[in-house]
Amino acid sequence: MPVVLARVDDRLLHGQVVEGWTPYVQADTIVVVSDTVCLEEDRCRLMRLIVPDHIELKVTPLRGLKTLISSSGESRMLLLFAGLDDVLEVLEGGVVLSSINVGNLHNIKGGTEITPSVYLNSRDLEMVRILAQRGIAVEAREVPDAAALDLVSCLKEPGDSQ
Amino acid sequence: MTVAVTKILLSALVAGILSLDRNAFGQFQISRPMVASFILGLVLGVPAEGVILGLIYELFFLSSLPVGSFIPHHPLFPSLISVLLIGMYPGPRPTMELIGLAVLFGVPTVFLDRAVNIHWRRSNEKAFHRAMVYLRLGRTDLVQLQHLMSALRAGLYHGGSFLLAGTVLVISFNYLIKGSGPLLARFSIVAMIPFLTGLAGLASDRTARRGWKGFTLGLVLGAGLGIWRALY
Amino acid sequence: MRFMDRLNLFIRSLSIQASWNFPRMQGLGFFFSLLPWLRKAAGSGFREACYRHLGYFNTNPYMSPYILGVVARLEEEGKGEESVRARNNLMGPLGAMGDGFYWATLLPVVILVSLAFSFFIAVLAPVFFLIVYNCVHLRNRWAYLERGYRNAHEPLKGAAGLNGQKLSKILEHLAAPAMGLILGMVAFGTQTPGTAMLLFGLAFCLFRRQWKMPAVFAILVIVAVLLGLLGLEMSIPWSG
Repeated sequence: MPVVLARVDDRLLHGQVVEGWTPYVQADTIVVVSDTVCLEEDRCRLMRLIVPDHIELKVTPLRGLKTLISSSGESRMLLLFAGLDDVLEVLEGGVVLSSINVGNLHNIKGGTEITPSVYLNSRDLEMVRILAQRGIAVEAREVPDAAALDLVSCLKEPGDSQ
Repeated sequence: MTVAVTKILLSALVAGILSLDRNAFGQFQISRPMVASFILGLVLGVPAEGVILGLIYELFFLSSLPVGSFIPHHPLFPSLISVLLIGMYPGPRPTMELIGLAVLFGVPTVFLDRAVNIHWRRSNEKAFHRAMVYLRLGRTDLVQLQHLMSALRAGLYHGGSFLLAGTVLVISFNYLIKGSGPLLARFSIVAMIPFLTGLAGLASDRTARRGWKGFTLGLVLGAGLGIWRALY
Repeated sequence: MRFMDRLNLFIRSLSIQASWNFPRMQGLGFFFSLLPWLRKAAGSGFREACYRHLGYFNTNPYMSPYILGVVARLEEEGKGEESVRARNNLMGPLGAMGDGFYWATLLPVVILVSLAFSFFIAVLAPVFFLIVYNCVHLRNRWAYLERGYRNAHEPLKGAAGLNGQKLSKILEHLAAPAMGLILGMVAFGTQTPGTAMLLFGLAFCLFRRQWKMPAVFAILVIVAVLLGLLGLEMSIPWSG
């Protein structure tokens, strides 16, 4: 039941995940964790089109993740979340994650630019702080080739936490 | 002197135009090193070395993809700079060692290229906001102009930075080869390193996904062909 | 859609990346491509249509004509809201398809195959590469535009066949043998197979340990200069 990568990405499944991360972490299952997406038939069908044949795609609501992880045996899973609040909710539900990768958070109201692809507002920063308190590493990185930025250390600088 | 200045100006023009292909118009991939170097080689009168340098750089950074908003490194500047250095070489036909040294000088410009590229993309942010304002005023002609001006800026930024970097590197390159004769020979192996690292990066990426069977098969076949070619 | 309108849309869509920026990405490029068509087709709703389509947009540049085709048809029929929804739903998945097919498969494989030619006649490589690659993507872009326009009411159904999985699979099988072939010819086609294999092996191991390209390159240059000091050499396998 290993989770090889937990990623926050407001575009969910796209090229960076399929071509970049999936081979890099050698995942064989991609799990889209979202309450809204699993209700949209069309989006699910499209997402299945872009996943290569040898990779399995699962779409689950937030609540279903815990049972999914415990029942999926030895498969290497890549989790995709649409936002940091979803991650926190899943953690409340008893799922254990050791690190979070933040890929794309573009369309955030009142957000300040942390990296060109990650914008965080005060509420997001608060959530990063809560994650850090639980001992979870949070990094901002779009693709494996890019440099990683530790978001937790970002918090400590007074200028950024405002 | 005038010939030298013309050559540098011409290659900056080529760099600007080719960067348009990569960033702005078409993605026809004439900005891939093997095509770009060949073109610049023709322009500077060293087509043979141009082709070789292009092939040397072709696989460099090929394993990183331009997906989403990630801007990967691109070997366009290094390949053009190396051809420029060889094309500006005052002596007789350049040797292996010189090509190696030209590669060593060219490679760092991959970072310059990326920095300029990101700077250009940031400048487009303002262009977008201007376009929004013009749309509200009902001036769609000016909205279109913002788009075209962004493309033009891509050419100017890349061409301009190539001009600066090219001038500095040509002067220091010629200064260095005048000063050091025998030491030069040590750089001959360096010439093939962009090719080998690029190939290794791509191979480690692919064999992780697909296994070794095809690769080994090709290797045996290639070794056979290579030996056959070397012998006859 | 008349031929001239289609051609105009097609040529403008080639420039979709030209004002790429971080927050809106290809937003302005998308609007620029669509503008003449909107002016013609949207009629009195032109202004609203403009506001609808100048915003965030990003997809693979080779796939963008499909979305433009869909939006063009829907705007023509006055279904503005629907066109926005189709655009937003399509850009992510189509982007992933395009990245997977063009950037991750077609481009590297065509490059590798042309490199294999280069050992016989060096100039053949760029010429072969340009012809093959451009034929494929230009033909496809033109066809996507038509296809999007035709399938505008069922855009997802029309997109299903665009991932090029069949061709992708064939190309994928070509990549590994081509790489092996190239390494074999580079190493054994010259008088110095040992140096080439040694440097390739070292780089390969470093990449497997997740090293990044600049670091691997720096290490290899140092090793190469040291080998040079020991008197080893390596020749270039091409003759111009």
